[in-house]
Amino acid sequence: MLRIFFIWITLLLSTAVSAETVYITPALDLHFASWEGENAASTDSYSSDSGMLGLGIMLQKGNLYAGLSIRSGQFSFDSPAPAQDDGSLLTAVDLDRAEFDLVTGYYFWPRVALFVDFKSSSTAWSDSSYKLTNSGLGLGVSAYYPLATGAVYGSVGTIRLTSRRGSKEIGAGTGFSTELGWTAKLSATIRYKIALKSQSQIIDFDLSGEQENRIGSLVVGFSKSFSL
Amino acid sequence: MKKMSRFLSLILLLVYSFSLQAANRGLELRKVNTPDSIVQGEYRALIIGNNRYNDAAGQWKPLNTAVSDADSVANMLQKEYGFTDVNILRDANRSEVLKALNELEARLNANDSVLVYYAGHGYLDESSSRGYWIPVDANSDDPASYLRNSTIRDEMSIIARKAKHTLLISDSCFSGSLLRRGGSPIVPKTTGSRYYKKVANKKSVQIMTAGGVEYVDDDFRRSGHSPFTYFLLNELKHNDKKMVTASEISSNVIKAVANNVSQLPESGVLQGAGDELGEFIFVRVKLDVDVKGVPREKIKVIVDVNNAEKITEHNPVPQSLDQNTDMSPRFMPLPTF
Repeated sequence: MLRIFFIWITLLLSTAVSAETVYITPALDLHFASWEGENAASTDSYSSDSGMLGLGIMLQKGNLYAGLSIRSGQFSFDSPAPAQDDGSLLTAVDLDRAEFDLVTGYYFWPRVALFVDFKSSSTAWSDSSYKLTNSGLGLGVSAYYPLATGAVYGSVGTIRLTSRRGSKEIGAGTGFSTELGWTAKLSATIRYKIALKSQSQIIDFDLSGEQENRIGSLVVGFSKSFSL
Repeated sequence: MKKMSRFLSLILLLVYSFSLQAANRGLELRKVNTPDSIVQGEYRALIIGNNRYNDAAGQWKPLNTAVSDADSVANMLQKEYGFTDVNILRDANRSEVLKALNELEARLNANDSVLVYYAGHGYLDESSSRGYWIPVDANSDDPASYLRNSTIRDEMSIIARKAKHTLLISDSCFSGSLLRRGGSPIVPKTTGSRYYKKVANKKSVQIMTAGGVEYVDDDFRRSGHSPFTYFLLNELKHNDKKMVTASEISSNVIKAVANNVSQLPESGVLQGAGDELGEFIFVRVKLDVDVKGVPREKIKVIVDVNNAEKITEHNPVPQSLDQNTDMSPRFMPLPTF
């Protein structure tokens, strides 16, 4: 998947000599996140608040864009905590969460784009070697509307996920995501954004059944555009 | 959680203060109104963009770009050309358009420059050669719900009687029928302050229209704009002169549109409205000036419009980015799951 993505980026950049300018936009995001969920045994619900730091880069040429985004943070759970795929439940555990997105999209309409996202989110239990990875390909739609000096923007999308421990498939599920935010200029090339983001993932583990995780975040971000 | 809310409030406050700082950053501009300033009075505009047509018979289908055309023109006039009174009507019905024209007229002073811009459907009744603007509440079974070009001309004439310079820009189908050709002023090859002073002192009542009696394409090159407004914005954006006349702009827009689409914009004067072969003058107020050794926030510029064309502009922002300072897709954040 990575290889395909980088070939895609290379193709995008290699056409930079044509009339359309390629814009490159690095971004930094802070996520004030709240992670809630339920284990297969429905009485086990858990929650934790934490911050996540995100970095991203986007390339855009005409109506086409592609980008990469990573973010990570640590969430502390007392009791209960998210269970492992076999139902094992550790109490007072710190979970390191990392998310990785490779996105490409196209503005089929002036303010509306369709995008595909290869997402991989991993959760590592800090006191053990157990690490769970959910990954898959999703489809979404994003849109924006200029308002006053900035723009309101949003996106919705759904994704089919495969859950793995190491290389072993241990379950499958679906994810759903929405984001609604505001972006405006700080200068001709620097922008900020403030957004509310909601992610949910329901994974049906082969061994223990369904687990649902929801992460709601307030996102504050900054980006700067360069032209190539 | 309390700590987190406090932290969030602090972040939001910081972001807000950043925005305020950004809004005040750069250059402070004061227009010098000396007794013999070339352009006096206020710059006012009524900008109309109609997308959401609601015609039961289905003749007037919704448009995609008229509102975005109107928004971008308003943005350009306010930010780059110092228009201080800009009224934007989005998806306006017949009475709203007429009311806004009346209100505009009521606000006018003798030396004002007034621009009226319309983007939306237009219609030509071939049997009577009558042209119309189509408001969003128009019913195709009842042409009385349309806005006749003669009504628009009357309203413009009333405005023109009070203002010094009046410019009507109509980006709609069949808008050419608005024109009664009185002959466009000839733009001299070299234009200096003498020329601008001369045409600024004479009354002008000018019209630019999108495309004679031809149909106007929507969403040119997926820019979110019609071809006419795309090239109009392009001309205003790329204008590197301190002052430019409506005739200079329209001359370039006509060429650019005709070179790219099968559509021929027209320009002229509104007959019988008192035009004295004057010119509507766009005065560029947004300058980006660097002074070696002086922090940008400390630079203050006073523009004397009498000698304004002598000022050299310097733009340190990459040209391609500066051309797109409005809201466009490239500035939207990357969506992720």
